[in-house]
Amino acid sequence: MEEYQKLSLIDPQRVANLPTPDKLFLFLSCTGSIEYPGTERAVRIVGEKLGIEFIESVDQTCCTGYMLTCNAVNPQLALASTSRNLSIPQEMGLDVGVFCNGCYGYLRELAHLLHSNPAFKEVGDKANQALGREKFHGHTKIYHVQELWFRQLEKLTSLVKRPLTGLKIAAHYGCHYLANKDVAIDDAQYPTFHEEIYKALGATPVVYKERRACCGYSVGRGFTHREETVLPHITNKMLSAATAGVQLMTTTCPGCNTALDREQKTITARGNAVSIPVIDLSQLIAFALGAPVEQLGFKANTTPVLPVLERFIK
Amino acid sequence: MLNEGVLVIGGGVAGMQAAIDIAASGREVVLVDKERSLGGHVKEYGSLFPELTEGTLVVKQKAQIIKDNPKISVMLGSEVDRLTYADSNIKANFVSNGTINDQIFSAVVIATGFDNFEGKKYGEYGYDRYPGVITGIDFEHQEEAILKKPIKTAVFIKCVGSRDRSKGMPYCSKICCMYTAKQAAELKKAQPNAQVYVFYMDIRSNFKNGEEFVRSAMENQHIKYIRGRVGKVIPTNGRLLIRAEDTLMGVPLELEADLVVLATAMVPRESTKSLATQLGIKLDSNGFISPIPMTESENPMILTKGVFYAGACGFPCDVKDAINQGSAAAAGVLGYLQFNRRAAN
Amino acid sequence: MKREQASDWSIEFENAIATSGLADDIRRCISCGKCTGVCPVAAISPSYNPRQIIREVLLGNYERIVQSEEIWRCFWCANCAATCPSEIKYPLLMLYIRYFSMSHGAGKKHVDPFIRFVTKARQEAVTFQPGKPARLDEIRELRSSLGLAPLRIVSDKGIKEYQKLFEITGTDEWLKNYQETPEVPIDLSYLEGKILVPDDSNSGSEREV
Repeated sequence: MEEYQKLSLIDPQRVANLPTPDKLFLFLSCTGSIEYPGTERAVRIVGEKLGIEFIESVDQTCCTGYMLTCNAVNPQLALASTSRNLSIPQEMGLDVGVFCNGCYGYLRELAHLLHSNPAFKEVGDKANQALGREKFHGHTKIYHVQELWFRQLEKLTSLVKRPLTGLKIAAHYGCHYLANKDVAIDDAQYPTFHEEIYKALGATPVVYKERRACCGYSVGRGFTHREETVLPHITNKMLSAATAGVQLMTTTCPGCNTALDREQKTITARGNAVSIPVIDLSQLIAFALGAPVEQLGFKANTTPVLPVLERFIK
Repeated sequence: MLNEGVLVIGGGVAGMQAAIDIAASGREVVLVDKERSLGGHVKEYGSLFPELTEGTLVVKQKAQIIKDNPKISVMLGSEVDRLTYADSNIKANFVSNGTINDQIFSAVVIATGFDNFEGKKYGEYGYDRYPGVITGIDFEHQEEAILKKPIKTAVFIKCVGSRDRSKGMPYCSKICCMYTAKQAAELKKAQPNAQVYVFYMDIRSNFKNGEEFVRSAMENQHIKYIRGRVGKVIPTNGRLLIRAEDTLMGVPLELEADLVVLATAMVPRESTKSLATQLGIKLDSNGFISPIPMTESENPMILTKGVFYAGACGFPCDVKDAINQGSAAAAGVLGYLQFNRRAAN
Repeated sequence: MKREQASDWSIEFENAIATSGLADDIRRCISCGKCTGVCPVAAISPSYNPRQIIREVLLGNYERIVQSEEIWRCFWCANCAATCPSEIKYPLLMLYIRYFSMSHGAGKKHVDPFIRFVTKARQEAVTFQPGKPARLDEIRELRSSLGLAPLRIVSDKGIKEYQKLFEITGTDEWLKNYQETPEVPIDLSYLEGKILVPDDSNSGSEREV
């Protein structure tokens, strides 16, 4: 087992530059809503504890990133729907909190393209105009909630009701969060801020060999290249976690969570027994902060979660 | 009034050579260095490519000449924090041991040198984080210990901080190909059973006997050169797992090593930048001193009236080149003081 | 395999990419191989090699790229982009290459599985909402127990606006074209760094990879 090595490259200045908002627009994730609704609930619970009120809108649609990256729609649709979706919080005067790496990555990348390429901006502006919406100006800030949790780590620490003493937790950060190297608060090649959060919750962070490896589900390869590439890849990743003695893994993306949690059944069926519950980082925090376990939606998980958390419930 | 003394800022090999050559003409030279001893980076190098001369011997020899020449006064532990023009002279503000004083000089040689690129800026290589990952400079510092400790496999990674726009380092640092070949060969000589790999993008050995030196590492010491920039170092099973592509074969590969040496680049210094800007001297986009065009200068090292430079504050260079530049700057200073400055007055 | 003919190369592809505004800086590539070294797909299928794909584009072997099976393997994990010393946004390049390939009628088998999501998303403005009633009931029950709306529902206004986007961005038209374009079978594959080109003596048969 590789020890978790301190010497973090977390940039304190960038962390300090993150806001501590009292109100944020919550950008809903399709995968999250369907596969792991407990994540959305957990985000609200943690937000409430930190004094962040999340406002949502029934007008917000899918971010369209998945369909774009599967090449299943015209790229202009993704640009237009990003422009439209972001005009909603813009109208409310709110910045955006996202809890799915996919939505986060696509919103940021597409917002960047809208902003940097006049031809792309015109696609977005025309769309909003046709819908009678205000143009998206590009000033709305997009945060992943994990960053906001880390910003208030001290407060979170003080709110811990169930210290996770002795629990060996490992991180899966997710590629589409780390790919935003210009905004990450940490070294995208060796991030450690999730491990810092585990420690704050009383748990023991574990570093495993394939920690930085992708979940394998991106851009739908789980449908088209499952046997050939995705399964061998996830098998490698999960076996390396098992070897390191990981008892629980967290993600910050419902898409990653789906791949890493659900595919364990197949991996096991093919002779590599592995059982590591995979939950969202927000679910873990909400749990440590004392949220009723029924509120966290662990029922949705394929690999059972309660066996490793049970002992902390009094 | 014309002051005749010359200030040399930086006591590395370039500055030492400039001081020696200027003082040989009988002029007074003040040689200042922020460290406690002369010799700059070179005094820390175990040996220099390609002849394998000890770095300390080069420094010792020059320090002796300086010591023997009463015309050179050495100010150690001192820094020049401000340079200003005073008529046709230059006024320097010194900070030494917390006290500040100033002195007037007729000419200045900037030989402020370079810094070593910080290995930890590559999170993927785990410098400062995984035991067994060191930089080329660490190798020079700890050479004896490194050569003694038994190693099964060692990996040298070149271009750490060179030719990398994403790190704001688009230029080639020039010397790393050579010092890597030297270190790899030294390791292999000390431990013939060790497997030594060098990951490279291009081999740039444009020094006298440089190509022969690198070829000898491959042919005589059996160092395996693999063309590809290492993607990742991962600690595993108590060793270091290397992931890279062998780009000549077009195959991704993995290997486990006990020692990883990062060939870190030479980077410009903040102090060079602040001195240069005070005198209106331009820096290039990488932060090195920008020389004036060849067609407009009477000496290759002149920057502006009475101000010269030498060594790696201009661009990465090897030890010999730094010494040559020190001499060139001295020639420029002497010519300037003998003719140009008098003509200007 | 015959000797490569430089006269077969075309600048068309490189120019098309440059004007797409998606990956205009691939000329910066120094072919260092860092991308391939960290690529999870290359680790499993070494015939997929991001560095070589960039090389292909720059040399102008667009016929081969367009028909390549390899371009469909990428996970889009962006490890390559995160590590690239030349700041090349390879995933965006890959996105573009795939569109380019599709415009030549290739790659249908890799896109078809997702068209059903698009059709559904066009109706609901949410992706992945399952169709099976039993699964929907399961989700309703769980979400309700968490105090969330039984299903993630976008307002009628939102759905109408989303559908309008399909219309005005030409996506409806694009989808129609896509479905009407006949598939060109893919039969090229890279092998251990070499690209297999069909030779006449062996056309149509499955190749060993």
